[in-house]
Amino acid sequence: MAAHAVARFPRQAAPFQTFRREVLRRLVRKPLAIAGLTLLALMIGTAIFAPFIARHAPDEQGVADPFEPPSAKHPFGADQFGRDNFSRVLHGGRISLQIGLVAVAIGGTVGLIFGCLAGYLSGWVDETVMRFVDIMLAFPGILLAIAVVVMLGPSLYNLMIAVGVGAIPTFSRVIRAAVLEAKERDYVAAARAMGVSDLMIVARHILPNIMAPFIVLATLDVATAILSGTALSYLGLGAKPPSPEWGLMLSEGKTFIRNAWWVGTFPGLAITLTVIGINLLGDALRDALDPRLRGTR
Amino acid sequence: MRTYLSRRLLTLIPVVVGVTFAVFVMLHLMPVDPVRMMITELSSGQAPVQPNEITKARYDAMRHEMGLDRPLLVQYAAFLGRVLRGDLGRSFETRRTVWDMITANVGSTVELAVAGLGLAVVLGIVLGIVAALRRDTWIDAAVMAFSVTGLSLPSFWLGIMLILLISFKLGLLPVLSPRGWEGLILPAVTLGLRAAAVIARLTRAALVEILNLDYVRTARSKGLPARMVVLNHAMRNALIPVVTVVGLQFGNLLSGAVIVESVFGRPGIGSMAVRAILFKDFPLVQGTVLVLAVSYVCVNLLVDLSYAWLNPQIRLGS
Repeated sequence: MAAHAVARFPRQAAPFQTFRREVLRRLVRKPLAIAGLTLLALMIGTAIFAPFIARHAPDEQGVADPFEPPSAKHPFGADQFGRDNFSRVLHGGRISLQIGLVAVAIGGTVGLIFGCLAGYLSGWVDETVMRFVDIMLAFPGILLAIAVVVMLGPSLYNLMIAVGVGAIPTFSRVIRAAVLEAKERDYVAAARAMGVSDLMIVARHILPNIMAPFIVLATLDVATAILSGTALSYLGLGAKPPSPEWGLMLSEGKTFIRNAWWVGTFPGLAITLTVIGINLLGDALRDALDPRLRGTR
Repeated sequence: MRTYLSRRLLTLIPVVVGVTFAVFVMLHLMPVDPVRMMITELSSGQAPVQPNEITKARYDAMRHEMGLDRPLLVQYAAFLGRVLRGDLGRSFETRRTVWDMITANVGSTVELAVAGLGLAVVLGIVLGIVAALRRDTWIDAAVMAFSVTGLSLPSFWLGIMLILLISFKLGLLPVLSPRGWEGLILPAVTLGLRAAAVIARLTRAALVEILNLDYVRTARSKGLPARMVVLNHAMRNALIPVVTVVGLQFGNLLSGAVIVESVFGRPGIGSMAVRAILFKDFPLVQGTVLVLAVSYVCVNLLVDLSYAWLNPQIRLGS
């Protein structure tokens, strides 16, 4: 019965594609969006092709003199072991981007489930889920991640989980609000009247309509996740030496900052540029997809 | 207002219970055996204890003494009772009570957070107003560029760069932060910049929206001076979302202090927590997380109350 009901109302492909095109058009017209995209493409590109661009392996020692200043041969100079800083920064991008994406995948998936459950089912499910989220929110930002790392033990994978867990509350809240609005629409009432199952309603009618805030939040949250991830590694709670993770490189370079500024400066610059790129793109996406989300953070 | 207050306080109860329970469970999920830790701690100063030297009888006796053989919920109730009496246990490392260590360090962190927040509020609101009034000019673009950069700078890098430029190259301020305002400037800037960026954005957005409203237009057409229209009429309403975000930022500043304190080598709750984690000083970790989480909940309550106070729609429960 349910299948028939859905089959009689095929998803309209054409308007959706127009919407997508409209969003793209709005994005392309914004210089800041282009700037963000370019910056991000550059950072992702150099991370993916790091093994081909970099002249040395990230942990290869003695390819330069220890603390060799930046030169044409070693654009970002060398660190205390004579490792090529440029190669290390390039390879570090792979780790940081991975942390950002995996953490957001974890936080986004769990947050999506929590948000849909709370928003769609309401009642005691809503109360329970949201109180649980409130408890998570009571652990401010990085402390929640630190607590998770302490429980699981410091390592790169646990750090991804920790940062991902830290992202759950925001996702849950935003998705819940979006679901609450989407489920009041007439087509949801119509589907329900026709006897479409709850799961089908959520999958077919609600999810497509909450994708805009989800995509925007996910994009912006990759930036937050990269910042938290590098911060945890900086504190010694994530990547371990000789990993070229940016936060770790910074914390190692901090010791020599007075005499060899390049060791810590370039990884930090790489973090900043990546995060600026994501933030610019996220802001532009928000304006293009869903202007109502303005000022949500 | 009183109904709102009591309702808000009621929703606080499950959260506080949940937070304490989470912190309590945290210690149980730690990858260490607290009984072994305690035996090793009690014997330190004498000959070091090898794990195989701990007899089963001694282990069981200690486990019983620590109450770890009782059901989990009973243990939780005992833990809650101790916390309510202000007994958070003793630090493994220093042997001082956790409560003593927290009270000794909290002042420095609050000082830093207040300085950072003060800077963020002043800078953020001023920049936000300027950007809103000069909308779509280069000034607006510059403020927004500052805002995006502020949101994107990792605070640990910003701190190191400030030390490098201001302290080492220019020699203007001391590197490590001694007591006093001189040592507070760089850490407060490092901590407050992100919040300033958030507040600037929000102030601009709120003010731009309100400047288009009818009552502002009326005030303008009455011939009121522009400054009075902005400060007396528009800002009063624009402040509502700003106050909320300022409160939320205060919580972020508390956790930001974790990083800033360790960058600048400042004493405080944050650097103490990181040290405790690295030294596996679990009672201290537990106590610090608990105190920070509860204070975060309290700050959020204050934010909600001030929000209700500013906004009659919420206050009157509609």
